[in-house]
Amino acid sequence: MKCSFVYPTPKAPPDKGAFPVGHVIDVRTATRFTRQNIIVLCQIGAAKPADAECAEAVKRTPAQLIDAQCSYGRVMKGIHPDDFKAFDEGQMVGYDKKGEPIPGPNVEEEELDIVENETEEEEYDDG
Amino acid sequence: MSIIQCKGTVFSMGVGDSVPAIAQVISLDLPKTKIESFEADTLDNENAGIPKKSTGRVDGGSVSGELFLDLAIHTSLTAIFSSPPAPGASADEQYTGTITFPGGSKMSFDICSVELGGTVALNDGLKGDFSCELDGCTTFS
Repeated sequence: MKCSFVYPTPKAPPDKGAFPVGHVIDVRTATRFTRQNIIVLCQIGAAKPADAECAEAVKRTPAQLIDAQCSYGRVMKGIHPDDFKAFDEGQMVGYDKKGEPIPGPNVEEEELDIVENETEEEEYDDG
Repeated sequence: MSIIQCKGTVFSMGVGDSVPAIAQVISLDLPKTKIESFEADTLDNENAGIPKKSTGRVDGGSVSGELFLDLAIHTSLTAIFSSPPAPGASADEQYTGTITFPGGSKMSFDICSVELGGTVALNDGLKGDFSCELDGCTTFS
């Protein structure tokens, strides 16, 4: 039975780093993973089934697995429900020490748009 | 002054070689790690103060919290009840936990016992409360 990680997942103990995305766990060769571990990782969305045996064992539909994988991305960043939309749209990637959103890749474009609009308005006013 | 906000704090817990995050946590009570002590007073002590000494042992305490409970997504929290660690459990069966704060600082610990309960109330969502007893010392980083 195999699964592969969808997100980088911390190892135990945590100072050992994290499993990278796409890392495959095979229960036959793994030393510190049981069938139950793999099922749990797939059910919570940290990993996805990598063979038919695992897909059957997790007892989730493909749609439920995708939902779990989407929500796990928010879980591992501690995203507040009020900010789910902003996180999903890439406007933020997490929180800093002050609880303020850390800008995501899609915020820069919006800021650029605002700057451009302000410039245009200033030029219009001058004219 | 450095005050870290709580929003974005993540509680992770797992068994085996991975420590996945727990979803929908509302609040956490951090473990009160305590150095064990005893009263070292004697009948002939002339001072009013009670002398105390350390035994040299550390009690890791427990971490507890509340979450919006969904058994379909909290399998990493409930898995321990289907395969509880036995005395003398190997490293493969050791439950571990981590609390990561915004900014990256964290507390890491081993877990020997878990309690999970909950409340069903008409005027609230389905909530669960959990408590994890720590095994040994907490690592701060």
